[in-house]
Amino acid sequence: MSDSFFGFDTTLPPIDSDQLNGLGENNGGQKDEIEEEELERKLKDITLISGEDFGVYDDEQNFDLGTQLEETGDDFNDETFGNVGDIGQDFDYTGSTAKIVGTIQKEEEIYVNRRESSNNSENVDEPDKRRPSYAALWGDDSNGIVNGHSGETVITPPLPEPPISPSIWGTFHPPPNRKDSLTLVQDSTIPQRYTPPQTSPLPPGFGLSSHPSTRIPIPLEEIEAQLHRQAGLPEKKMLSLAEVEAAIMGINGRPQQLPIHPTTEAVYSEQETIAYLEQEAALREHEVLLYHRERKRREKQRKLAEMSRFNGLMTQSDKDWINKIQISQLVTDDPYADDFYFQVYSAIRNRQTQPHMSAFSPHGGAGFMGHERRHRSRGSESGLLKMQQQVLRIVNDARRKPKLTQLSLEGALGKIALNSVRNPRQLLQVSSKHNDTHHHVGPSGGNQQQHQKIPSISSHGIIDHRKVLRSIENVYTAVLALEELRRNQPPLPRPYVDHEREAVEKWNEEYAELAKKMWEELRVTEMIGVSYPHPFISILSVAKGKKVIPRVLRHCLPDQILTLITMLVANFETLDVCKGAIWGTQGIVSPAMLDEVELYMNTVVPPLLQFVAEAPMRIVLGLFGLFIERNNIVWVARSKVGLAFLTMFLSRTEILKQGGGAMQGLPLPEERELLQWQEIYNRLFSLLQNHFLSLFPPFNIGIDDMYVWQFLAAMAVGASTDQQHILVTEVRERVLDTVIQASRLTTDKSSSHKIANVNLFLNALGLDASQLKI
Amino acid sequence: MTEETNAAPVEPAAVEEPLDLVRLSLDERIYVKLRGDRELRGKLHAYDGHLNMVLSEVEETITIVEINDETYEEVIRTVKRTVEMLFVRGDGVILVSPPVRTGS
Amino acid sequence: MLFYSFFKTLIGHQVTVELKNDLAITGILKSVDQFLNIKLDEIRVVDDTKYPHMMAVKNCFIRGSVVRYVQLPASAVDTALLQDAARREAQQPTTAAAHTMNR
Repeated sequence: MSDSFFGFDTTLPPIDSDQLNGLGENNGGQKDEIEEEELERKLKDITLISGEDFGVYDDEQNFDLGTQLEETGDDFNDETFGNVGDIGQDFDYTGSTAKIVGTIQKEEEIYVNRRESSNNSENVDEPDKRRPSYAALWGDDSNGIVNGHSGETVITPPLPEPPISPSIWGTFHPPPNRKDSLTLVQDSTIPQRYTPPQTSPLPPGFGLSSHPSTRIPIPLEEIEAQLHRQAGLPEKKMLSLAEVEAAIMGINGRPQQLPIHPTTEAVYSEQETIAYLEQEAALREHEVLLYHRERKRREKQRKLAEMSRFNGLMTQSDKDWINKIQISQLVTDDPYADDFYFQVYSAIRNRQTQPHMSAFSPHGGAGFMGHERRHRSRGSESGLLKMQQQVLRIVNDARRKPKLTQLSLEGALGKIALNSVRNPRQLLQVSSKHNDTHHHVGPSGGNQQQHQKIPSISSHGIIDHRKVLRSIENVYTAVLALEELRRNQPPLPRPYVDHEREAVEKWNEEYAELAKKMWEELRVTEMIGVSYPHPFISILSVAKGKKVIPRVLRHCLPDQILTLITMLVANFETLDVCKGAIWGTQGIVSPAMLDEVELYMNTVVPPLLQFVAEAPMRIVLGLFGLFIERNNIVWVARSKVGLAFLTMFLSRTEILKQGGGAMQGLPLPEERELLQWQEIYNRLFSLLQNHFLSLFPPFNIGIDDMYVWQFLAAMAVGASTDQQHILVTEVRERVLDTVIQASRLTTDKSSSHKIANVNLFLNALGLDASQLKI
Repeated sequence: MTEETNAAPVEPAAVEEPLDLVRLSLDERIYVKLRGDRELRGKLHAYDGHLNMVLSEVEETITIVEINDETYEEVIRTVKRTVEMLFVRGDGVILVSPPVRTGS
Repeated sequence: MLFYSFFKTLIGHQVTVELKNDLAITGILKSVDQFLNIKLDEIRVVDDTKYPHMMAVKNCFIRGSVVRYVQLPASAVDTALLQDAARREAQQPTTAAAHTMNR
């Protein structure tokens, strides 16, 4: 007799299972009701213990499974799973199935064919030719065990690894495997009980030992495993729940619960089967061939289906995004890439708390210099301090060699008054010059009017402003890249190490390239007069444009810095911080503008001051002359920034005159240069004469006027005796006011500051505020 | 970042993205309109692709429309406050623009 | 990652988190993550008469998406550096693209 467990295999077509149908005669057959109950109870226990679905099945009941199952077996799917109509694409397993439905049908045909041939061959083969691995369990050994104890065998089912299924229905084993089913069939008369591994050993007496000849209780797992071995299916993958359920029903001998399953009672005689199988055996070899071909084809199809399953789920931008994420993960070995703010902020903070930590390594720290420098200048106003130091220096020098012999140290105030009274001619001179200034500085005066006509950059529209902002951002981009490059500067190459030398060369190239770009973005070299204001001046009129200058200059060559300064000096009066922050003419300077001025003093001025403080006489005189030539000095000098530039030129030239250039290895200025200086100075003095008092910001509005005293001191040092008298006369009131105010101030600090300011100037004249009697 | 990428950003961007305009306003005062009838004016210090932002010297204006119980007239009033430094979450942002330039 | 990086530097500082439901919580910033979820310690509800149920809470976790504003201590913010970081962030996508093309 041939029977099998595969009754509930969905791959089994209904009509071809004739021989199985024939076996259904015992269906619902002579069953000991009590036995069955006991079995079920125990089964439940075991199920509880093992925590697994677990069943014991009768051999005889298995015979007719194939007949009880409808091929599709999905009649209750809706009840079980609900209506599946609206499942989204994510869960579209049926869609996947549909793609390979053709394959399934072919598989079915093949399977059916093979089953027939298999059954055929099984009957031809003798049991002793069984495959050892599985058949042994069913053969003599089991017999022995049966005889040995209670007539039941506890077998841990061997679970040979089924081959990985190439299609969702799996690959079929080559025919020899099918001996198993035959073996099984032939041994099925021996009482056997199959248990899943986790439940063995079972207590003896369990199961159907009293009816060894009729029942072989088999757990579902075993059935499935067997099934898979037969069909080469991966375990527990291929059965839909409904199918399994149906199978269980059938096995448990309650087909009446599945009224849709007709109980077919076809009989299949052994003779017929043998004849049929013999016929089939002839085709086997051919079939094996076909099988392999088919398997390859299905393998390919499966792979294609696998790959195409998710086609179109992601858009190109999704993919790009994933790419980006992956790439960003690849490049995060640079902590600055993703965590720039935190890294640099922490580094700066650490350095501030540990000020004497070793300086920058060429790799790690150099890039912070931009930030550090900003911090320093922001904190201490180093630019102004430097300016003050320079002025103090020349003032002190002047004090050491006083030339104002006629000004006695005693009664200075009286004498100053006396002097001014005694110099009416100079006052007249001044007044004539004053008029002169107003009349003859045509171009400058024109400039002044021009300013009033063109109030600010914004009048050109937002578009222009945006262009400026774009230029600035481009500069920043270049500067950031340069700073980054500096951080990654390769170490100096060791001699004869080619790749190090090449790295340095490559770095130098990149650096030069970037620096060139930055320089172009600054637009310093654009022609003057094409646009107004000059593009570079426009950049400086925006706060962030000012802020970037110190960082830019670190990457500039000296020639470029000189070009930049020249451009700035030539267009000075168009600077926002110059034209917008002039005391006197426009009255009040807005707090926002004062902030801009301070920003300018702290960002743009220091590096330029640094440059000028190291420049030779020829260059300083050139800039000085240009400054006076190109700008309306009376006007520009009323701005803090303008005065700062004048002070810068004055103090540097004074230092050079006194031989201070030796520090930079510069020779003493030539006679010609001294003459040129004198010319420029006199020109400046005559321009400003009668305006010295107007250089001060309004008294008592809380503006620190130190910068004016600095300038006056620088003027005083270079002034002739007559010029000194003029200076003193013009600003005498401011001196007195300041000293009086200082004496009334309660706080020592602001008081002494004011006195110090005044003394800066008085000392340059060889005087001191303490000599003033109020 | 590797060295070749340093050079990359300096290349003129082929396509101008809207966020590039926001970048121009870094360190500038901007106007931000937010959900819930809120407006901000402040200096922009940072932004990202979500339009998360950090602003300083911020003035927030909240417009509240109240309906008078008796006359059923809409009464619009604004509440203003200032914040020194403010992080703004981007999901509330409706628009970002340079401030309307007053005068000249 | 810019703002994650930024907020990390503010850990330990007092901030005021203003939620979209107008609840404002002041507290010490304990931690932050990439989603800008925020943990606050020693919290105090700004308008605690309006939200009395928050009085007993000493610390809290705030989901990033419910945040409207975070008021920050200006002294703990390096604005210049922050702007640079924003500039770098702004040009990072192009950097990544350049990478893709280079490889």
